[in-house]
Amino acid sequence: MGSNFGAKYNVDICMCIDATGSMGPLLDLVKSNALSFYDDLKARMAEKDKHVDELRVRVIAFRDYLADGMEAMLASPFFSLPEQSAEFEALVRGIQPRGGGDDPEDSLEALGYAIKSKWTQGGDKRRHVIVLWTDDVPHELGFGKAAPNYPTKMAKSFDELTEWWGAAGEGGVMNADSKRLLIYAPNKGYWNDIMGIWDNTLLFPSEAGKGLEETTYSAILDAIAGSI
Amino acid sequence: MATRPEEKNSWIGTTDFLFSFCEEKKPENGEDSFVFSLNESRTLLGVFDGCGGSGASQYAPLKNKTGAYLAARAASAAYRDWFDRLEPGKEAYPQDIKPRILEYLRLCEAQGGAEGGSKLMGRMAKKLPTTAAVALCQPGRGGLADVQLQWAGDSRVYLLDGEGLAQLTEDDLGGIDAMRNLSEDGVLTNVINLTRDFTIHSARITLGRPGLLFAATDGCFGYLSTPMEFEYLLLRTLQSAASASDWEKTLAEEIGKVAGDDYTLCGVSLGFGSFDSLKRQLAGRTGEVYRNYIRGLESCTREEKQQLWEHYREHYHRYLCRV
Repeated sequence: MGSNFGAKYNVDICMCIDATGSMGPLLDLVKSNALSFYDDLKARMAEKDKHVDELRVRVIAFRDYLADGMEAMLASPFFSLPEQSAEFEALVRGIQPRGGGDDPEDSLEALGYAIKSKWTQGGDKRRHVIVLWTDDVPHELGFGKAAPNYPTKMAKSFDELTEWWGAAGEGGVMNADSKRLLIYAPNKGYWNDIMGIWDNTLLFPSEAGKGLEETTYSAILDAIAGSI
Repeated sequence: MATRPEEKNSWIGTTDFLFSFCEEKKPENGEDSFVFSLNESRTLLGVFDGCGGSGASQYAPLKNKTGAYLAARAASAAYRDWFDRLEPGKEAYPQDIKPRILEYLRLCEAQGGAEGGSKLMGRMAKKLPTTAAVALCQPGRGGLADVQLQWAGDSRVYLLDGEGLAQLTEDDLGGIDAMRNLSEDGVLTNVINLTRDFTIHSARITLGRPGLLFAATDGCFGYLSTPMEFEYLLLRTLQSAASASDWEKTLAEEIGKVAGDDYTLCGVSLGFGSFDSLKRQLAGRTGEVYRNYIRGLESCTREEKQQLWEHYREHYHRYLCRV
């Protein structure tokens, strides 16, 4: 919905990006999507004659705490777009595929950081959207807790992370009406569990050997624009 | 367009006029649909709002239309089919509609082919999702008319009579009321779709006095700052209209000025006898709503608007049928 009685519509988007070595060429496409996201969403909204008053984006680039140490988790503040486009672009372009250790990644920790973002409370209507791109399943939460930089206030288990998000019909730390979670990932492991029990979620299943198709990016945009 | 039935018999004579509009916010992108039909024993009116977020997948074999667009039309066609098969004088069973809707949605799915079969998963993912708000009216045994309500989602059926506007169908929004939904934009907990089970809620009410019964998608009422303004918009345009057609046109134009979405409304005027009589009988309420809720509203704080809403709500909910 748009704002037509002087109400302001504020949208925050947290982009969680798998930055491990296996992402390779896929990461370039994800980065390209991230950088064109503001213009593409604006165009998509214009097609529907809707508009957003304030849009902020933050990025969480994740790898593995045990394998990648201090490079395991890069979490930016929110950037207001289009005003801070240059800072946002510099950050996204700086993300390089490397590390990652074994196949699974510490992507649930990235989700934990994303859920606990300082979401906007401004405006009369709000959307708080997390978009996560990865090519593999997550480790168990706490897999990397032996690493010195592992966060002490992270959810201790998948069940606790589920409480943070809020399972079907239950509250969580985010506003129940505003929150949305869009995941581009293989449909297995915890990604499959999340789709079954977390409210307001969409999974765009990735297929082994296939990259991020343009149609998937378009579907992600449609899902966000259609929910506003 | 507003039409007045010409026949004068027991049911059609009770019907003053029908009114409807279905407007796209952006041409060729509308995802609303509606149905209305009248015969000698019953009137059907309903609106359907295809859900653009979860139903954004496009179906190439069906002119690239979205699942939301197709679902709203499939549901309205299913209701039309259901209505046409009702036998005069026999009971209309609400439980008969869901299988018919599913049949129409599956037909869409079959014609849409694999490209329409979105790979999306998750609790938000729904194939061919749409709301429905429907009223089936017939002569009343203990009053003017018996009304069977059927609904899913956040489109609504309303009654406007001399006592004011009443929301008849509770939204599937997890208990969020009409005022809070204007600012919170709540999440739909139940819509018609092909992915997971859904409920077509049903209820019956009896109208004992003349009234305007209508169904509306959220584009009609969701872009004002309070529910009271929607009632005043209806009454204000009614009092300034010269005829039913004039009112229908003006109402659509006024809603179009504020709506940020497609907006669809269809309804029936029952028992007033004439448009002039309708205006006269609602004139007092128009002044009352203005004096009690609208005058000075622009300068009210959010808290003051909430207080006004709490005063207004009890009466507005006087016929509310819960989910």
